[in-house]
Amino acid sequence: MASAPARAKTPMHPLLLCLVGWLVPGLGMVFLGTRYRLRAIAFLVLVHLTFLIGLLLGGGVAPPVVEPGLLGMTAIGFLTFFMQLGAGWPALVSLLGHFAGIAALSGDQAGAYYELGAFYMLVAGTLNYFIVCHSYDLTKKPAFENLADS
Amino acid sequence: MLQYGAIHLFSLVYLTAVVALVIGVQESEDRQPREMRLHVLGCWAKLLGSLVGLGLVVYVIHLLSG
Repeated sequence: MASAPARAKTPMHPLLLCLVGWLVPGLGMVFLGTRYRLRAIAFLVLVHLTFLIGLLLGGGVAPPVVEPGLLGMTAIGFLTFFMQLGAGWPALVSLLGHFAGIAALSGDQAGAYYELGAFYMLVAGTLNYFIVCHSYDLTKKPAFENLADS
Repeated sequence: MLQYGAIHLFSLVYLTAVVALVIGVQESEDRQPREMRLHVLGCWAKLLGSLVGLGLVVYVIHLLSG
């Protein structure tokens, strides 16, 4: 009779791991074991660097605006905001900067590179969502227990 | 104008490279380092090629539309 695959064993609950990974991009993967540590550091640097370039270009995370009669634009605004928030703490800081009126954190919406900077942030957030989902997947891997210990 | 173009060109190369790196590394989970490098480069080439190709198609349509 075939034995059931080993259950995943992580230092923390997989959903908590996802939350940590979302809040600090790449950090969730650090807790998956030494095998993934180098990759986690690379992802941590990449997501933060991409967000930082967006910020330097004058981009920012701003709450979406509901535009009456323009359903498409409103939907794009909400989707962009949701994807930008994927970058975790940098996105939250930028959003706080928007509410506090700190231009260095929230960007200049009239600036020539605002859209491009916001797009960098969107890519950073999307990548982090991807990394979080992958980390969650890895915790469900049957042989994960052995990998984490190696 | 030159700066505007340069920044957008850099963005095209950088953003496709970052996306290819993250997706490519995770796709080639159990491969050898050399295979992984080739897979990531392949991902990058496909992304960059698709975007440049799409840009060219849009540019040609723009020219044809007068």
